[in-house]
Amino acid sequence: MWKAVGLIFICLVAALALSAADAVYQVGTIVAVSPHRVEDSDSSFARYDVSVKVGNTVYVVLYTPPLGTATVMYAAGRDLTVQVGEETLTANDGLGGTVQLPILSRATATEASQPGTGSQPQPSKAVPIKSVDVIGLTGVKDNTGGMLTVESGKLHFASSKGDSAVDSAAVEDVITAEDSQRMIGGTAGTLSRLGPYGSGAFLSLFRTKIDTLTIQYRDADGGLHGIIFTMPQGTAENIKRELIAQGARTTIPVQSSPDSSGGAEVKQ
Amino acid sequence: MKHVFRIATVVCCFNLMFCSGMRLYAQGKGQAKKPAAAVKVEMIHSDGVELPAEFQVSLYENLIQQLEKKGGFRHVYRDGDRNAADVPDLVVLRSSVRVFKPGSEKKRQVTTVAGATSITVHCQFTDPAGKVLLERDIEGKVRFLGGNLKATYDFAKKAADVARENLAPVAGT
Repeated sequence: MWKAVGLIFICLVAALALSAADAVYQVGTIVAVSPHRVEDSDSSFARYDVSVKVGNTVYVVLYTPPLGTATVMYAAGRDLTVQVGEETLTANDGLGGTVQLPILSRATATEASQPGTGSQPQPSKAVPIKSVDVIGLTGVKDNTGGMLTVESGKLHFASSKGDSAVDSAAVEDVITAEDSQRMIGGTAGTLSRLGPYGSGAFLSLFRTKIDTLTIQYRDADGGLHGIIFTMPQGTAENIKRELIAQGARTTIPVQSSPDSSGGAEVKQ
Repeated sequence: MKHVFRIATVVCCFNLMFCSGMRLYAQGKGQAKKPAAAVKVEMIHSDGVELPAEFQVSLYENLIQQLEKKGGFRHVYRDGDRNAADVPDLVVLRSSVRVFKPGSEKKRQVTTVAGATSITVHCQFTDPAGKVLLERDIEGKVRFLGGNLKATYDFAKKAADVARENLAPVAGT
């Protein structure tokens, strides 16, 4: 008799604990990431302002990468499990542990969730995306790597070899697509192709998916220009969305999901 | 003495033939050429052919780059450029994609024989009034090394060569 009562009690406690845990932890979505800016900053530590949307609220938290990596810059659109506290946001780190992130600010996300309204609580439009100018950017050599941002009505490309900007209002078409490239690139990639017993060909099987962003715009004389960028997978659609929000036009509408960059868009 | 006279006559005949041949060739080449000071490149069209946007833009930009580099024209204008309206010796280049085989960079790198990307573009050089000066089908390919877009670079190089040989005022400049 007592054994049965004890068993029922244990089951009830476990069920209550589980339901309580479900109520505390929620699914949040990273909506924007930008470098943390402070006047007296110690530049040896890279820190980022990460905007996480939980329910109807957008929390801006301060994130310090453990190894100083900048991969969080490409995390926009990613879902994660979070626990909202008074001053901190506890998030699963994906390795079985948790990480405490101090909350810098919070705002309701009634209009922030709609792209193009321009009411994001944090400067999400200035998120730089690592990209490569494949061809067409004025003043920059082809196949130059740099950082791409959409800010103040312009598409900015900054690299060590030169900077360039295009007015969003002059953009006539923005098209995204998917592609892939060899995981080992550059000089190491070229040398690896010479590997013995077909090892170079075998290494070509390992590839990373990338997005391509194709832009057509007119200059002050009315001349038509085309630019092609490549960037990490899932980022081109965000750039396209921001460009359209700042006056660019497109022949193919923006896709609804922010983290799906869609298949190859084909023009007739 | 007799032999010297014969040899001199034969040498003279050969010289005459050689010089007249060269002159006739140069005349013929000059007749085929319709010199133009500038070229305006219109955006590539792909009527009836499914062409990804990046290929369309890459064809256009590579074509402009190659014409500027080795087309031999004094100026290369872009599609819609208002400055091209008053240029007297202007050639307009209209291009449309006829055949496009996407290929695969991965297949090329792994097999080295399969996955070639090829693109055939019909190029029409006209005067501003629309009179056709020259028409060619030009093919761009990438068989072994390079990304798929390298086919557009190959096409642009060939198109610039055709323009230089047939339409540019000073060849090789």
